[in-house]
Order: sequence, then C-alpha cells, then structure tokens
Amino acid sequence: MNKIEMTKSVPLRYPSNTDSIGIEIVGSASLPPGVTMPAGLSKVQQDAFLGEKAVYESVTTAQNISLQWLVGELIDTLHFSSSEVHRHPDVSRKNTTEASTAVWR
Amino acid sequence: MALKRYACAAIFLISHLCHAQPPEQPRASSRTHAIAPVASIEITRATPETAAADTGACAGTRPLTESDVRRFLTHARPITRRAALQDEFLVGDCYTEARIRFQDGRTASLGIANDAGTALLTPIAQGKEQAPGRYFRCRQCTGMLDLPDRLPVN
Repeated sequence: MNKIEMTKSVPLRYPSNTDSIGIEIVGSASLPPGVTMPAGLSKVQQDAFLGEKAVYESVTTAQNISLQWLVGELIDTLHFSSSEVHRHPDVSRKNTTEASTAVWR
Repeated sequence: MALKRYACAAIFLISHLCHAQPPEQPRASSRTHAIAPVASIEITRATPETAAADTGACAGTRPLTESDVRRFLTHARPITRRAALQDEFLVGDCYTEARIRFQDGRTASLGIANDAGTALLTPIAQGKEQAPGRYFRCRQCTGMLDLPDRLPVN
C-alpha cells in the first residue's frame, strides 16, 4: 500500500515520514503486569513483541508545556492547520500508547 | 520484573507538510552483497508469523525462500537500532528467519520483518546467538512476501 501511495504527490497521498515533521517526547516503555513474552521467539520477534506490547509512561506536565509551545511555533512558522498534527499511532502502525497522554491543544 | 524497552523512547506527532519534496531515492551500489559474500542459506522460519508467533494474522503472505534472503542481502543497508525499532517499526508485522553462513566462515541468523523491510542480523558463535546484532533495511524488500490479495494490516 505504501508503494502505491508514494507514487502520488503531496498532498494527494497518505502522509509518510518523508512528508512529515516528527516530534519526540522522551519516555520509557515497559511490559505491563501480566504480559509475558512467549517462549521460542526469534531475536527480531522479541524486539517486536516489546515494541508492540510495552506501555509508555505518561508524558509529564513540563513535557506537555514544552510540546504546546513547540507545536504553536511550528504552526505559526510553517502555516499549516492544527488539524494536520497527529499522534503517530493515529496515522501509522505504531504502539498505541505512544503519545497517548500528549496534549498540545 | 517488567521488561524495559527503551532508555529513551520516542513519541511522535506527525504534521503533514503541503510542500514536501519527493523522497530521495537510495543510491545504487556496485557491490553484489551489501553485507558479505554468502556461502549458504538455511531457512529456519519459513512461514511468516507475528511478534507473538501467530501465523494466522499473517494470512496473505507466502513462505520465505532462499532467493528472498539473497535479495535482501544484496540490497540491504545498515540502519541504527533506533531506526529499526522506532522509525521503521510497524505494529503487526510478519517475521521470518534464516541462518546464513558467510564465505569467511562466520554464521548469523537473519530475522526479517516483512512489512518494514528491516532485519536483525545476529552473529552465531559456538551455536549461540551473540547479542547485540546489527540492523539492516532493504527498501526494495518491503512486503516482499505479500501475496497479491493480502489485506492491509490494521
């Protein structure tokens, strides 16, 4: 699907990383209680299991204040709509807890 | 004890830029093997399966073949661990694995993420995988095991 979309031009295609600015908020992720890794997984599957099942810690108040300032500055400078700002897992196949507690509006 | 994934994990917000340029094409390489010349390949996990070892969720993909592995090795380029586990990582990807013996005598396992087109190459010494491995991406190999009627992963 990505190959098909990338044959289109912006803004007709579904946005990819190359069409976007990524904002990172530092945080750690860990497996929640009761979730254990199945035995017999390959190394790459072990990485992926953690990537899919781990839960990110909450964004702090200070991080959200910084995020709101940064998003506001980007919107003012680059002149795009705030409706074009998304949590990564809302637009891509990412861990659903990424940015789940980020507040920028 | 809970397993910690990242000491410094990332959270992304995406803003879609209306005047973005087309993605840069990867430079062609004259090298036959991007990683190292291969002596032999043994497919150790042919049927694609999820991170939790579910093969049913990978319906619409075909088994990994030796020629797939050769193709991956030919076009693969090293990427950082961060790129593999964050930037390129896709939830619900399907994984396969091969054991590779290189012409210089080294052996390694290659775990391939089909949808992302990434892989983890882990050296094997005295029969055991030696972490950490190295991460690679083959842009031409994304979805290489997809059958024509495979449905999009949600």
